[in-house]
Amino acid sequence: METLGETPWDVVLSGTGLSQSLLALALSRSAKKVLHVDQNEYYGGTEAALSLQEIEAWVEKVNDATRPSPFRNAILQKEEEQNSDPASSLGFSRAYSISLSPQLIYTRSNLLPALVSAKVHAQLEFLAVGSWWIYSKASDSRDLENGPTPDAPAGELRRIPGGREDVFSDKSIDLRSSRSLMKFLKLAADPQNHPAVLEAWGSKAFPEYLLSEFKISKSLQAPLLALTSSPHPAEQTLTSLAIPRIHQHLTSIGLFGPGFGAVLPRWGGLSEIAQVGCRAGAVGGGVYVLNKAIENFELVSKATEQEAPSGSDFPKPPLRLRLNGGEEIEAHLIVGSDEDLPQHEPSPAGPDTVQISQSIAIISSPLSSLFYLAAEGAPPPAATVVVFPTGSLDLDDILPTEKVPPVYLTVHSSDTGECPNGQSIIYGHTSLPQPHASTLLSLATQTLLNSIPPSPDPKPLILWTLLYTRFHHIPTSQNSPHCQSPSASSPSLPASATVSTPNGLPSYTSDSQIINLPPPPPGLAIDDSVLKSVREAWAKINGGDDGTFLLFEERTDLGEGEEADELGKDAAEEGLDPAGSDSQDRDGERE
Amino acid sequence: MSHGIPRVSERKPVSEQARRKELQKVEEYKELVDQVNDEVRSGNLSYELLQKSSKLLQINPEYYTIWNYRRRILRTLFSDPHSDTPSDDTEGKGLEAHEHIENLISNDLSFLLPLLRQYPKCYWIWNYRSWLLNESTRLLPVSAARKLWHQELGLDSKMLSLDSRNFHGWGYRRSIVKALESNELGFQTKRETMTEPEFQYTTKMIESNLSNFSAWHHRSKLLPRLLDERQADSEARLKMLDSELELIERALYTDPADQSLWFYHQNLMCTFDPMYAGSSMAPDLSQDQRLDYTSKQIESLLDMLDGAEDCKWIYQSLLQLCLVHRDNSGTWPPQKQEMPKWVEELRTLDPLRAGRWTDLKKNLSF
Repeated sequence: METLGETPWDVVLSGTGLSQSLLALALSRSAKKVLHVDQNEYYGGTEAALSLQEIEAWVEKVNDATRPSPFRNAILQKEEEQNSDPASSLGFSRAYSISLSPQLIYTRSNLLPALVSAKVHAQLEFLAVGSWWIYSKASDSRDLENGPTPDAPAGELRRIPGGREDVFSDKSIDLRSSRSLMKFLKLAADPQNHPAVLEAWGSKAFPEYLLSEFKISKSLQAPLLALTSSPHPAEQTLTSLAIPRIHQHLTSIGLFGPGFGAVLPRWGGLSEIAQVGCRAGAVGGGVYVLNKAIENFELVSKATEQEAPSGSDFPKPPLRLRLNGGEEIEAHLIVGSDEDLPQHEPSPAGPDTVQISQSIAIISSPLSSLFYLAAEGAPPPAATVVVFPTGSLDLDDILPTEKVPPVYLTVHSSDTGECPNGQSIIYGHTSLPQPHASTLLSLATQTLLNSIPPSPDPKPLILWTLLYTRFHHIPTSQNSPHCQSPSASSPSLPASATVSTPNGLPSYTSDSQIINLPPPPPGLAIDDSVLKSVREAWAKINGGDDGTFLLFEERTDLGEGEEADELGKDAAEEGLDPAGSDSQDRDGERE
Repeated sequence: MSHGIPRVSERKPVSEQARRKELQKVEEYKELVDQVNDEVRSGNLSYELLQKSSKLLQINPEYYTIWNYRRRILRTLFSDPHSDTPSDDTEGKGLEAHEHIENLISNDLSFLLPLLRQYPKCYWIWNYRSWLLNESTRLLPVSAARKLWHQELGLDSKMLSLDSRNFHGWGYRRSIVKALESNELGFQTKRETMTEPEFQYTTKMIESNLSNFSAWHHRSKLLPRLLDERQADSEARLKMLDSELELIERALYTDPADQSLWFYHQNLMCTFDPMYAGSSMAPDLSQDQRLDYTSKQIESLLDMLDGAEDCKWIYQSLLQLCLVHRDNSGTWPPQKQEMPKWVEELRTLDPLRAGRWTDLKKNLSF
C-alpha cells in the first residue's frame, strides 16, 4: 500500500456508515482527493447489512469491551433444529442480509429528494412500507385460540388510521370519536396551526393535550401516540415531540403513491444507500480500502504550533496518519464517527447518552396477513410496523405497566431480499434499558406471533434471535458535527477552545481538521438531521455552502448521460402548452 | 391544479435559447398542419397520412379537425385489405378483412394510450377512443370486439386509479358497461350484468377517497338498477336504504365539510320526498314510513350539529328536511321554531349566497 502515501490526501473519510458514505457521494464530483477507509471487511459501518456468519463475527467484536463501538451486549440465539422441513429451518448464511439499523425513510424527508438530485436514485430499489398496526391486549380469553406459549399472551392487532379514509373505514371507532380524531388529524397535517399549539402545549404531555383539546379518550390516544414513534412512555411524550412527528407521518402518506408513507431500500436498507454513496465516491476518483483503520494521527510540522490559522481552510499543514497496516500518509482533513476515529474513548453512559435495546428475529413464516394492501393501486408492501404501546405488555414484577416504554416492531418480508422466501424478519427496539429490555422485546415478538390472524401459512417459529444495545450520544450542539481536536475525549469541549493535549499537539479553532460526524439518531425512521450534518461537514470541506450540495448533472463522461439529457430537454419543452387554450376546460367536477 | 391533480399545460419562464427553439417548433408544426390539410383536400387518405396525423396529434391533441380527418382516413383504410402496411410494401399480407381492421384499430388504441396519459382530460381523445370501439362493434366479429371492450374496462380502472375523480373516466366507464351489456356485443339477458361488481367498485373508490363525487354519483346511478336486478322486495330495499344511510352518516361524521358527501346525502333524502319517492330505491314506502325516516334524519342531523356548528351544510339539510316533512304530512316538524335561526346561520356562514337564503326564507313562509 505504498501508493497510498504518495501525496497528501485532501480528505480521509473513516468508516463507510451512512453519514460518511453520503459525504463521499457529496464529494464525488469535486476535485478533492479522497481516501475512504473502513476498519471492517464490509461496507456500511453501523448501518451495515450482514450475513449470518458476518453477524457472528460482529457479535464477538461488539462484546470486546476494549474496542470503541456504539453497540454493546450482543447475544445470539439459534433455535435447535426441530424438524427437517427446509421452509421452517435456517437457510445458509448468505441467504440473509440482516440490517443492523433497520430504519424506514419517510417519503417526506430530505434524504429522498437529495438522492434524486444526486442522480443515484435509479441505483436503488425502494419498497413500500405498509399500514401500521397497534397491539392491544385481548379483551377476553377466547383470543388465546392461536395457542400462545405459556408466558406470552395473544391480543388484538388493529390498523392505525393514517387519514380520513382510514378513520371512515374503521367501524370500531364510534361516530363522535371519529370526528374528534379527524379534527386532530386535520390540525396536525396543517403546519400553520403548529406554532400556536406548541406555544400553549409544547411542554405538556401529549395525552393531556389530546384529552383536553379534543376529548380524545385513552383508547384512541394510543394509535396517535404510536404515530409519533416516541421512545418514551405515553405520559412522558411531550406535545412538542408529537406534533412535528405526526405531521411528518400524515403528510408522507400518499406522497409518492396511494397507501404508503415510507419506503425501505431493497437488499439491506440503509446499507444499500451507503454502498451507492461509496460507489459514487469511487467513480469520482476516490480510493476505497476495507480492513483499514486510522491508528493514530499527528501534525506534520511542529513549527506551525505557534500560528493560529487566520480563518481560511486551505492550505493547512497536513496531518500525518498511521494506518493499521503501518502505512504513513498525509491528509488535510479527517472525517469519521466516534468509533472510526482513534484517540477517542468510548462514550461512557451519561446523561446525554441514550440507550436503545434492539432485537432481530428470523421467523419461519412469511406472516402475509400483516402485509395489508392499504389502497386501490397501492404497491405491495415489503415492511410493516407493529406498535406495542405503554400498557399493552405486562412485565409483572419487573416494572409497573405504566412505566414500560413502547416497543416498535418492524416486520420485513422476503421481498426486501434480507431473508429467503417463505421467511420474514422481525426487528424490534425499545428505550427500556437492559437487563429487562431482552425480556420485553422477546415478549413483544412472541405476542405478535400469537396475535396474527389465522392464515393458511404454517405456524410461525422463531429460528434465530439477536439482541443488542445501542448507545447513542446526543451531540451538544443541535445537529452539527463536532469539530474535534485530535485528542479530546469529551465531545462537550467547546470547539473554539485551544487546549493543549496530552501529546502536546495544539487543537485548533472551529476550522479544525477533524470532523466528527454524529451517528444517525436511533428510532423507527431516519432523521432529517443526518443529511443536515453531512451537509455541514461538506460545507466545511467545500469552503462554504454554495447550494450545490448533492446537486449533480447526469454523468456524461460515462456515455449514458447524453441521451438522458436530451430526453430531459425534450420533455421540458413538451411541457410548454401545446394545447394553447385553457378555455377548453369544461371540467364538470365540483371542487 | 384541478382537485390536486396538476394539469399538463403549466407555463414555465423560458430562456432566450428555449424561446428560439420553441419558435422553430411552431414553424415545424405549422408546416405539418399545412401538409396534412393539403393531402386531405386532395383526397389522398393513405397510411402515410395517418402517420403524419399521428405526429400532429401528439403535438396538439386538441385540434379536433385532425381527429375527424383521422376517422375518415381509417374508414378508407378499413375498406382496403392491403392498407395496414406502408404502401411500398408490395408483398401485401392478404389478411382476412376483419383481421386487418382489428390491427388498424388495435394500433390506433395503442397510439392513444400515451396521449391519454399525458392529456387525461382531453375530450377529443376520449371521444375518438369511443369511436374506435364502436367501429369495432360495427365491423368485427363479436368475440374480437368484446375482447377490446373488456380491455377498455381494465384501462379505465387504471386511469381512475391515477386520477379517481376524472369525470371523463367515470362517464367512459358507464359507456363501456353499457356496451358490454348490449345485444350487439352478444349479451344475453340471462347472463349476469356488471351491476354488482360495479357497485363494489364504487365502494372501493369511496373507501380510498371520500371526496370522490364521481364515485358517489356512479353509485347513485347503480343503486336502483342493482335493486331491480336483485328483484329486491320491500324488506330488501329497506335494508339497503338503512345501510346507505348508515354509510353516509359515518362519512359525514368523519368529514362534515366535504361537499360530495352532502350531495349523496341529498340524493338519499329524495327517497322521503313525495315528489321523487316513486323513482327512488324504496318506492313502496308508506307516508308514515317516510315521515318516520324524515323525523329520524332531523334528529340525527341535530346530533351531528353538536360540535359542528360552523357547518353550513347541516343547516341547509335540516331546512330541506323540514320542507319534506311538511310535504309529506302537511305540517311542520316540532323543530319549526328553530328554522328562522337556521336561516340566519346560513346567512352568517355563507354570506355570498345571501340572496338565496332570503328566497329560502320566503319559501318557508316566515
